[in-house]
Amino acid sequence: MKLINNSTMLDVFELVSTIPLPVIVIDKRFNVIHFNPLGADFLKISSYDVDTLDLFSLFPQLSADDFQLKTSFELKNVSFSGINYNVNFNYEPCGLNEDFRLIYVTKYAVVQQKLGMSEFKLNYLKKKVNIYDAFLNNLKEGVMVFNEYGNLIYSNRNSKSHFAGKLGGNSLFWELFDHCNSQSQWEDLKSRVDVKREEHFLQKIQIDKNECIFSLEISHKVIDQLKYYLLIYIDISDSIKDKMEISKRDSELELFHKNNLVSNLEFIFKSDKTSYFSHLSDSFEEIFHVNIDLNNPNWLKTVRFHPEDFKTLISRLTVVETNISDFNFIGRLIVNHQFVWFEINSKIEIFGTDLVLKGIIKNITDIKNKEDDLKNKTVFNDLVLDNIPADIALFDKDHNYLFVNTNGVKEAALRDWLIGKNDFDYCALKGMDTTLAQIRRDYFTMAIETKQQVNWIDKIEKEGNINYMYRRFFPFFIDGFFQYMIGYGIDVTELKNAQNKLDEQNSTLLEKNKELERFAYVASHDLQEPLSSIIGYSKLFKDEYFPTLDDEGKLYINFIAKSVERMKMLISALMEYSRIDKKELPLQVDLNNLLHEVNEDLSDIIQRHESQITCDLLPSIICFPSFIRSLFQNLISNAIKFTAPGISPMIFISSEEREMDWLFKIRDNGVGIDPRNFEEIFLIFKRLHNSQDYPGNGIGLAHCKKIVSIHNGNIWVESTLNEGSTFHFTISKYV
Amino acid sequence: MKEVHFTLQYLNMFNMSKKISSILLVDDDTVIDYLHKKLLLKAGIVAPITTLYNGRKAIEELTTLNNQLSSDDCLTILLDLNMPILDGWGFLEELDLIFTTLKFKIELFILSSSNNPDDIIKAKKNTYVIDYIPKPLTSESINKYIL
Repeated sequence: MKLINNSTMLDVFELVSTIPLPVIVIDKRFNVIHFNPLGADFLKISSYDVDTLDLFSLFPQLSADDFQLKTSFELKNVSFSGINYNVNFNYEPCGLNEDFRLIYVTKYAVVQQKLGMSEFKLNYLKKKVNIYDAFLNNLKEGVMVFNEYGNLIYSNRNSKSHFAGKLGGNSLFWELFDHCNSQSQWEDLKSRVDVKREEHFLQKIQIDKNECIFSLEISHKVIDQLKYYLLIYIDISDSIKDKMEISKRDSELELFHKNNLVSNLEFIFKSDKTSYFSHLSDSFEEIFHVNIDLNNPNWLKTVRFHPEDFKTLISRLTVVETNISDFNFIGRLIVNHQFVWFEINSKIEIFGTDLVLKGIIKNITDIKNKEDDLKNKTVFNDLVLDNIPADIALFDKDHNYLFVNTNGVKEAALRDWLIGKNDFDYCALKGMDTTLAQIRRDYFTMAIETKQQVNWIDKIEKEGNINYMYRRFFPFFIDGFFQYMIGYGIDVTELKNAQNKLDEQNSTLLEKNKELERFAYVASHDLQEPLSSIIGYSKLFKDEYFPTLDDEGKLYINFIAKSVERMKMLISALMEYSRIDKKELPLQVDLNNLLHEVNEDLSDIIQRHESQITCDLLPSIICFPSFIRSLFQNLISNAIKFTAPGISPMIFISSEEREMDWLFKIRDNGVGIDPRNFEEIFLIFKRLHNSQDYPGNGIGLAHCKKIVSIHNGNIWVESTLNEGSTFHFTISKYV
Repeated sequence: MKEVHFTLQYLNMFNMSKKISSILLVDDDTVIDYLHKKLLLKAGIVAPITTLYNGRKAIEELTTLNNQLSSDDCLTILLDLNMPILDGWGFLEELDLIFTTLKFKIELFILSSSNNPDDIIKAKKNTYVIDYIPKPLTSESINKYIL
């Protein structure tokens, strides 16, 4: 398309500014008229220089004739502002204005300066370079050079081998080293180095399965206005390793010393038996709380060595004739009136006539004390185990003996033999029947299965005697796992025999008691019969023949009747006494109700004597109601009965709860009892007064005593003559 | 059957003009028997008084009397407890077996020297026993219970 020929310059300039290539506008005579911004950039010229510029000053190797021949050009070594370029451009007419032509730069690249020099100089330089190269490649250090863009432009042989495989065509600094991770960090590094001159850092590198540590130094150099970054590094792995090893050893040693309270020592023992310490660590004083003068043959004056121990040491050293690599000695120092145990581990070397003992000395007092404690404990335990009058044995899960004490097996040899064996082996050895062993085995199994102790009594017949052994298996578990079984055996023959005897006696007693009761019952019952006859006939006799009798006769018959009545009463009372026994189960009884009933029964005599009965709130207890009733009745009626004539009986009843029983008190203001009689009154038929003064058969308190005793209690009296008496009795809570 | 009998006994107690046809003294103690007989006669009993020395003989007597007495008749029995061969309790058991065959009425009292409360309670519990009278009989007790 043909454009309008007369476009103005401005239009052209506007057009070329839009083209994304460097464009130079020239006229027919190859004067540079204009270039676009990219062109200005490329040429490194500002637009102000344009008037004096023609194309051939820019591209000297070109002439006008070249433009006749072609429109596309490739130029080498075109120089702008001292930099050489290889340039490709196209030459075209300008569509807008036929006077103008356009140069489009399609490609340009910087070309390295080629220095023009003579061949001689070149060879000289080459030699020098080779020397430098050889030098660099024989350095232990690694040398690498990076340009300002981070590209590696040189690496010596060492660095090549260190970074084998990692150095690609265009390795970048941050790809090789952890010190920078990206280009931006590289830029930071550069600015730091530019300021500081150099920077040090460490880098861990994996080389052939070894981890090596490099110490690197990067610095910057400017050569011909170009910035280069020089990296020099050395492999410090070994020295690091050594350092670490040393520090490890140091800390180990420190720990050792700290925990083992050890001091180094060197001790010289001369042929004339004198000696001295030639070296002791500083820690010696701290460990032993005493200071020994070095190189002083009179060192024994500064520290006390237990004389026996010292003697032993000297005698041991005296017989040393050759070097000994392993000389150990344990002894005591005496510091502040206390023994301090020490142990020396050393080696002895002979120098001429002197022995040199080199090694360490430790304070083993604590250990020794612990050992002693343990020994004492063991001795104590053994003493106890061997002197307990019981068999003690320890078994494993298979019922084999782990231990048996002296009491269990007297002969030491047999005890030792028994370890690891079981009861059946023992029976086989002694030719004994295995019944007992089997019984024990069964109990053993039961104990393990139920995880609880089992007890039983063995009955053993030996030499005509029967012995009883109380045996126990106690299984010992930790966290549910069986550890061992403890077996105990205690001879309870005496106990059992005593118990058997007791049982026998008890049953005999019970029988006798029963017999006695039956006797009492039958006797009184059978006595009643003829008694009834006597009573009956004496009455009849009185009725029919009384008038015919003289006074004497009347008296006789009255006496007969009275005696017989009394006898009936006695026998009745005796029968009642024999019937007091635990026949049924005791019941819960509210004593307040019971006492109410008793008072009602006694209401007659209570009123007759104008008696006053005061009573605390009584508890509800477990007892035999009829007997307790009898008890209260007896005591209250006694209290009323044994009051001086004319005086109103005042009776106080109280109760007190005690831990195991109830305590009751019945206090009266009666005639009192002489202390000499305090015990007797509870005997059956014992009377303190004449019947004329106070009637009664004397059985009441015996009744009370028996009633109280079947309630597992006691009864006693406190009294002052003419003032009154207090009867105390207890009823057990466990009837 | 027993309940009906009890009611009859109860009614008899309120029957003031009862007719005692015969009295049996069942006791092995002859001395006591003589005393009791004497006392009963003194109290005005006209009915025949028979003494029997044990429970067995008493049972036999009942059977014999069954032929002699009628339903209008009332027999009073004073029974001791301790007797050989058949004691008081045994007698009561046998009585229970033959009671329905008897034509006449019976008033039975236990007369015993035992003052054992257990015996007394046991006696009073028995259907055939009206009451327990302690030995020896006295004119008072005769008036109270028998007449």
